[in-house]
Amino acid sequence: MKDKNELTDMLRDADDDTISRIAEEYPQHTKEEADRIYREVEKRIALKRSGEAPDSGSTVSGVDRVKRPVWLRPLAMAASFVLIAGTVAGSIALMKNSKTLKDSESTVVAATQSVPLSTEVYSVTETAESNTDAPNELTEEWLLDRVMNSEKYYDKCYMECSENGELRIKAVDHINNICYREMVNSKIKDYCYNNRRLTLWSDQTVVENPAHLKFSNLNASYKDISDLSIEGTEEYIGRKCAVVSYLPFDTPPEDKKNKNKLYIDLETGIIIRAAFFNEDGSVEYPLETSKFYLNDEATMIPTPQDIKNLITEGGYTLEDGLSLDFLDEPLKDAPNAEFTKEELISQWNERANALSCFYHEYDTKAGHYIKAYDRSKDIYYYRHTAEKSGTTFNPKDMTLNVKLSETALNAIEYRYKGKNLSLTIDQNETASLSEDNESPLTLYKPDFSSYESGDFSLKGTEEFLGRKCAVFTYAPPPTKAQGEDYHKSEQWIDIETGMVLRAGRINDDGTADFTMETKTFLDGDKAASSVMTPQEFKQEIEKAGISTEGRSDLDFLDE
Amino acid sequence: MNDSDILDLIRRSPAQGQRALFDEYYNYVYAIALNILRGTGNQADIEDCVIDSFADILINADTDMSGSLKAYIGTVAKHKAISAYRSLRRKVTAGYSLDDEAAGSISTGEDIAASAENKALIHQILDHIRQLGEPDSDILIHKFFYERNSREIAAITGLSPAAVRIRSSRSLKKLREKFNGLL
Repeated sequence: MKDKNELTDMLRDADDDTISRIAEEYPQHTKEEADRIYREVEKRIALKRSGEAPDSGSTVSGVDRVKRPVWLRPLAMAASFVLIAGTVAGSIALMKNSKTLKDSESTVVAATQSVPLSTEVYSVTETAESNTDAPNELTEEWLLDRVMNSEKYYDKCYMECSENGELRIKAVDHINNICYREMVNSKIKDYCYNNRRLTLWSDQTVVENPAHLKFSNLNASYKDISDLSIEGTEEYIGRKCAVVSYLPFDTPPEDKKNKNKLYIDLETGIIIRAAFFNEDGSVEYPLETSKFYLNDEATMIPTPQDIKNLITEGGYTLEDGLSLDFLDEPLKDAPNAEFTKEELISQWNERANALSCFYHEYDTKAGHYIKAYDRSKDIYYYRHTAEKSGTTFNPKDMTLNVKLSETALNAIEYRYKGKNLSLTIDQNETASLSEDNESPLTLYKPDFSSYESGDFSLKGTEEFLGRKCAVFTYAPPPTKAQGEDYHKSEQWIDIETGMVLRAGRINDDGTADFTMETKTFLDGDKAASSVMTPQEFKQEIEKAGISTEGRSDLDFLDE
Repeated sequence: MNDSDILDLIRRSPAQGQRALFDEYYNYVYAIALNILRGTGNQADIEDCVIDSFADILINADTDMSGSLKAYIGTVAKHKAISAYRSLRRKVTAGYSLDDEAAGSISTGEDIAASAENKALIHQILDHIRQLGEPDSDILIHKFFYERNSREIAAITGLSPAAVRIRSSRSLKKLREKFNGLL
């Protein structure tokens, strides 16, 4: 194949038969994922039949010229935070007032209320003058920090909102590690406590949801808007707000006449209202907030016991193997810790290039790994030497996987001048050199996707090899705990860079068996002298038995 | 379960029959949505398209229908995905129409010949990928059709990300050697 992308392009242009074949031969989804999607299908059918969901039909519709704020899509996604409220106090309020109230009763009451809110009389907990430490002259930088780091500026928040016509309740309690969301019309509730999340479906079933519930704050979308200008401040539901006008990225010139507006609560950075101006001059409010309580006033946030009572007294059925005992457990991740888990992960995701140069050498029981990176020279190499008869370390679940001995490899991945080469010597001593279109840098960023299911907690900080490390513990969810691939484990992660320096299994007696441990960690000038040069890599290719003479494709190593 | 069994089950027990239809065609509808929305929508958009497709398919399921259930489902899924594509593209390039691009219209005899040739080649490549065996075949499809990165493939296959990358490179090299004369 002349170009690796050619295969991608061919598959992208695949005809129906090819797509059908790939779908049949390479099914993508687990039973759990299929179940989840099917529940969504059932809900969509119910909404369509009740007329609550637009029925777009199965025909191709024409192209309408409609402008939408760019943040609407993330807003509508399940994990987004900001919501709208109706005229009702929502089921949690009812639950608080009457502990024996059935869930179905409360949501039915809520769902029958009208949603439009613009003329609502709002509950106000503070005066507009008292809710801000904002400077007299707002700057984009100040606002960006307030929006992007919103959760630093409050401990608890309870909101009722209307989001695209849907009534929602959202609540977060950073002190007690609680996050709650209720989609009132759909009768769906999500509750997260101590990093475990329950989803209460409208059919009165309760499942453990592997994805953590996040109280994110449109932060990602705020970065995705352009032509931003601060219009001034305005009071909205008793809150002093910055009014910001903006355009979605890539808005065509002819559509730049009417900017959309966001109302940002100055104290918390939470976006509590959005206005969308149509071409005919009319205005829509896809996001409006009716109730907004902070900190001591946010008394309607359900406690773990509230949720437990709701489930046990509301006639809910638990999925097989699910226990509610964790709702009785004490709080983990104490709020006075130096860092929170979320803060660290967020920082690491931003800091893939925290060090200009590093050299990182570590052992596992299966082999020896080196990672090195010199940003100034665009050199990255990853060397992996495994014993040919040995086992393979599987970072996904921190296990030594004896079944995968065939993957034992001696390999160097090398990136230079934007090209990525892999030199591999397999178990038959056969060397091969190939080019990859995926940068090995992707292996550098920390990845926590494996921990979305289960309890992934920050235990504290420890020093290792002179580096300050965050120590994380992972416990699989009870429904998975019996499987061989799931067990308790511990990771020691360098706080500055997010690199895993130690990892291993936690035994039943509480001791740790580190199956991966760093031997050398260098940064700066010390590391620079240890990074393999392009010429040294060329020598490695020769040593492996591959001639580099006359290989024009390797000329870039001499540049 | 074939189409006739599914339709029969829908007649006798609609709930079970609908679930059977979903299980049989979920991967197919997902692959169609992914192929049209990739690069334009995110995972949530693709899932939403799949959900909407099945909602319409199940609402309109006609137990007396003749012809291929698969063809009907494929058509609905494709149209839904094209609508979603348009909707997503709209905010980027308002007014941009992609009738020709996404609807797959074929206008010339030359195109038809090229399309047939390409299709035959893709199927040969898929045959060869299948012969690579697992996990290499899975890795290539995940990487080049589903466009997942090494980390994501590692989580699916149970290999380490580094092993995924290396096996992918080696498998691709084998493919290149095999098909060099044809390309």
